[in-house]
Amino acid sequence: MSYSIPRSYLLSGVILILAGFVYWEAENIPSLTTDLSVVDAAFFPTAIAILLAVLALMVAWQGRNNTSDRIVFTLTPAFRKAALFVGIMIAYALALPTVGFELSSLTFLMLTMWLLGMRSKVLAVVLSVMVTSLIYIIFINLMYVPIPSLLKNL
Amino acid sequence: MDAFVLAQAELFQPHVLFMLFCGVCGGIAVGSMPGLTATMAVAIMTSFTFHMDAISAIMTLIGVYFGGIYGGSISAVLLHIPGTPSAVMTARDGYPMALRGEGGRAIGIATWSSFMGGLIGMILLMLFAPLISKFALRFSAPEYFALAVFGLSIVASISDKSLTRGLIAALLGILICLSGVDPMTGMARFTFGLPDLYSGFQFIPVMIGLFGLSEILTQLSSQEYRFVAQKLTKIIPSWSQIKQLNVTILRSALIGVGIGALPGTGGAIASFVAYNSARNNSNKPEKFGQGVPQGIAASEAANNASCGGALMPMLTLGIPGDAITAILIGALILHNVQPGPMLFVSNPEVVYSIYTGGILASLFMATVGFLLAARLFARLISFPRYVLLPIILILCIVGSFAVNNSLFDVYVMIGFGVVGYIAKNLGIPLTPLVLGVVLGPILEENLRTAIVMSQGEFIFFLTRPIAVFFILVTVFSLCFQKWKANRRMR
Repeated sequence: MSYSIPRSYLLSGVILILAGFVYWEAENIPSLTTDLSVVDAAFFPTAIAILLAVLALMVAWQGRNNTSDRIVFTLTPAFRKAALFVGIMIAYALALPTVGFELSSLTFLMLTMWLLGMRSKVLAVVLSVMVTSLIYIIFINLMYVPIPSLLKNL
Repeated sequence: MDAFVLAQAELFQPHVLFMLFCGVCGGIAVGSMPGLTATMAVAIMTSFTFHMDAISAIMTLIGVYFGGIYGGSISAVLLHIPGTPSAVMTARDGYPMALRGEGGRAIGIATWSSFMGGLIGMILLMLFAPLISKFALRFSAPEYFALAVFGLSIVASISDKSLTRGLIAALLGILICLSGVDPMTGMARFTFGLPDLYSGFQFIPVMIGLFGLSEILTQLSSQEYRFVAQKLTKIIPSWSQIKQLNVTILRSALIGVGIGALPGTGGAIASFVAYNSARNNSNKPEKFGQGVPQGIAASEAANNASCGGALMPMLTLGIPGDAITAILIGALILHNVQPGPMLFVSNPEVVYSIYTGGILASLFMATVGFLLAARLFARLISFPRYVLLPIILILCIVGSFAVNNSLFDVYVMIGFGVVGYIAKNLGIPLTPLVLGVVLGPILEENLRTAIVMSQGEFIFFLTRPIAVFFILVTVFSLCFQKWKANRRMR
């Protein structure tokens, strides 16, 4: 099951929607000056929204003769894997404050290594422990980065 | 002369040289890690220098400064993640070289260019510090605005295939900077009710997401991933290679010093401008972005030379040239050394030791870079994917957190990783987007300030010679590029 659309049309559509959103948001920024609108906080976003809309229309115009360059929407296993990794990263960030850096990092590393094809459990554990320890030493011990840590709270 | 001799006697003591060397090594290690910047390293190291004598403390920090700026090139070349903002342009040509198996050579070129850039920067600092600082003081809002416009003209050369898409990318970059509290009116813009967004998006997580995570997502969603064995021979550039790079390095170093001396600019803008200049002067500009040594040389020579430039206003006027020199000023004051015009009278030995220390730091940096960093780090990229990608991913996360000690920045990084992935698929080049992020705040703030200064008279810009100069250079540069492109077409 796949669906395709010319790349330039899709880009043009996305940028037009974004430009409209920015323009609308900028309209809601209160004005502080009456005689010098350039100084207002809304001036720059409004100008950029207009420029983006013009450029989006130019992209669509330039791409009218090249509709063969298309983006195909299809859920390949590789695309699913990329999406899965984004999900795992968000889960890791969510787990950090509660589980702590050590456990969440070990789990994250072992899981991602396994998903990418490492089949030796011993090597995965050894590498995960090594990398977690090294990052712990550099970031938490030497650079004083206050990453939520179980060991530090003991 | 007595002060000069005294400075050398203090500097060439074994423990001072050792601290300088350690500073360089530490700076390289920190700079090469995504998220850990030279600014952060200098700030943290300042606390370790409390109990040192003034010269040892300053040398340690100078070492970290120079090493940190160079270190950013390593992850830029090998992982496509610029370790520091000023290494963004290094990634543009360094990474394609690493993908061809020339990672060692790319780091070698970056090392040589950084060394020469640092050296030229320090020599110019010694010769022209008071002169350039006085010139830099003449820059006000209209001049900075004109400089930012000139910087944006670089979009024309880094837009890959389509200028329209490059302009869209640059505007999107400027849009990213608009989030947060407006510095002039105090109004919140594009914060969507999130308190974390009141200070805007942090640059480093945005950059790690756009370059690092988007690259990993592209690799994960591509079936054609291949391992590239890195050739670790010919790391030190040959004499013929050096000769080919000499002009680029010299020109870029001069640009780096000039821009570095302007307070509030820094190495990132210097490397953008130097890269553009190298491309405009090349016989094969279309090869830039595909892995040409001149691209790496321009970026690295400029950002390291900007260190010397940033030290100029710091030493002569007591004004920081960038964030790192602001911290250095604090460190000097901690050791009872007051930067500014009186420094040359009250503590001339400190000035001379900084001159010599900067040159020695460049030498140490080149030695460590050639003998250790290139060989050690270039092997990293040859690791199997199932080892390398998880390590890069965790560094992306921890590095983003480290910038502001905030989990919000981690989500920002992930968000911009997805944005970068989508942008690549839509054909939007990422480098102009980063250019927009760097120049956006300078452009907006200075345009609005200039308009207020002139009470709404746009003609005001034409009464400022430096601003007019930059506008003319911008127009000339764009016309020259168009003329060259037309000539190539024929």
